[in-house]
Amino acid sequence: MPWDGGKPMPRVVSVVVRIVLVVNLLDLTTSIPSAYNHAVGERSAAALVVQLALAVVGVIWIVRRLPGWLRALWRAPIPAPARLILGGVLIVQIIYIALKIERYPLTNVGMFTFRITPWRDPQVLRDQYLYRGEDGPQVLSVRRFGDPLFALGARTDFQTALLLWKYRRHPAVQDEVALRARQVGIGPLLLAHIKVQFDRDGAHIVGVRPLAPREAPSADDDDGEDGE
Amino acid sequence: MRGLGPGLWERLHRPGSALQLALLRAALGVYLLVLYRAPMLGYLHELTLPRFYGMTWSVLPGGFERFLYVSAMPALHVVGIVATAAMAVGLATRASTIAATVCWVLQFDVYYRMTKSHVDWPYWNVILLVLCCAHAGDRLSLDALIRRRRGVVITRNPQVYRWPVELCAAWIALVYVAAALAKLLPLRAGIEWLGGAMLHHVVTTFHYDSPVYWMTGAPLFDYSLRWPFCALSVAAVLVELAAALVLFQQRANLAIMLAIMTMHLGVYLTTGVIAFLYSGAVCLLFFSSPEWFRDCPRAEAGA
Repeated sequence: MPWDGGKPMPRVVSVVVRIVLVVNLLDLTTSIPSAYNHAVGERSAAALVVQLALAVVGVIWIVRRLPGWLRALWRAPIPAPARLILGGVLIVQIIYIALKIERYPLTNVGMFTFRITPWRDPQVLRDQYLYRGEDGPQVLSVRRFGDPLFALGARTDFQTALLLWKYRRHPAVQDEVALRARQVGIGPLLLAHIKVQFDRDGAHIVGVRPLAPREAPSADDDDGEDGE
Repeated sequence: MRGLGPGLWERLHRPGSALQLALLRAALGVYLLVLYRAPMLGYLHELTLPRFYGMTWSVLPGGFERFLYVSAMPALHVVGIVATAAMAVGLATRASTIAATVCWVLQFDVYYRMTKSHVDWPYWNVILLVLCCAHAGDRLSLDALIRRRRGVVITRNPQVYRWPVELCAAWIALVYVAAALAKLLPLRAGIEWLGGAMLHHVVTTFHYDSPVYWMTGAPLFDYSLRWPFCALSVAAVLVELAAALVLFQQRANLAIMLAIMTMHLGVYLTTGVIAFLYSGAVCLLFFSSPEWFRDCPRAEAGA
């Protein structure tokens, strides 16, 4: 990358410039709203103009370098069929990352980037199974059934435990959870939407709304969380 | 970076270890068998949901996915176990690895679509694909045993055992770097993420599902404070970005993976999400150096 009348740009500056160009491009491409991407930030018209101008420079730089990168990929000491297949996967993966696409069997690995209202209030809403304890309502964690160290009763695997959580309103799942709870001396259970308040003294359940069983899962059950 | 060993490009040209590649193939096979032992796929099938409900997206056509969920799951499960077991012991290694990969990818399409669970496919889909293209059955395999009995000797350039291992490690690094970029971009969303709101949301909503609560009956600290979540968010993104260093050096790779494992341990203790600890432990194996294995030819001095 020549500058100052053809004198080579210092390496550090050159690297920083390239990083800025790539980050600027990625900032624009990941700002394109789509079914996969909700994390879109608004920007002023002036900022957009500057970013687009930088993006033009970035695209020109990439287009000029692309043949060299592809030649390097082709020179990799990997058998040709594997090079083609895995090179193709790599290119698609880069597109997924650039456009924030989440489409199996590849992902932009955007776990824990779903939309939330940041710092809404110290109260947290959550569906949980409750049972009557000595000090009032207690929470039974379904996920605990799949923990290798802290499982209650007959341990299942973490994925099945996650299923029990994701499909918590399905009657068959509720029967399974009730059975497992009885086996460890807990019951009866109430599936409820609870409100929890966090403060210096810990966590306090401050609201309980019972939930009815439902066979078909719906968007209400998809709370945006990635689970595991 | 010179003092920290060669970068990925140079490592790709170096000789590898057939024993290491075979060990990785067997270890991944055993791990996948452990996952297959879990009843979750069968249980998902037993729920017989009124309709196929996709919480996420897939490149597979919806009709094919419904067929997988309604009809093919039990058979796919059995074939997957047999193929993965054959892959683990190295019987018809190439064919069994391809069959194991197809079964795995199809079954996890259904599981992921119906649970939104990212474990474990972002790692293993591509790593299985790499193993499909590699000579992973030359050691520690029934294939090798049968060949030896027949007096067949196979001699390969040791470099053919190197690139699969390096690509798998690079893929794992890419997964973590991508995770960091997804948090940081677009930049406005990234600044919000680094402020700790997302971590606060996750830790508080998973509070009753966390080992910290199970052990102490209380949060780890005052969850109404913001600054600890901000500090932890910055640390998590830095650790994930550090995975990019895998491409430029070798000696710090294990340290980077151990830092990532520490992050996963923290996530487990505060949210109960344990799956990434398991996956991370298997990923660690891919960061072992081929030079640790006795069948790996020593690189020439100065190489």
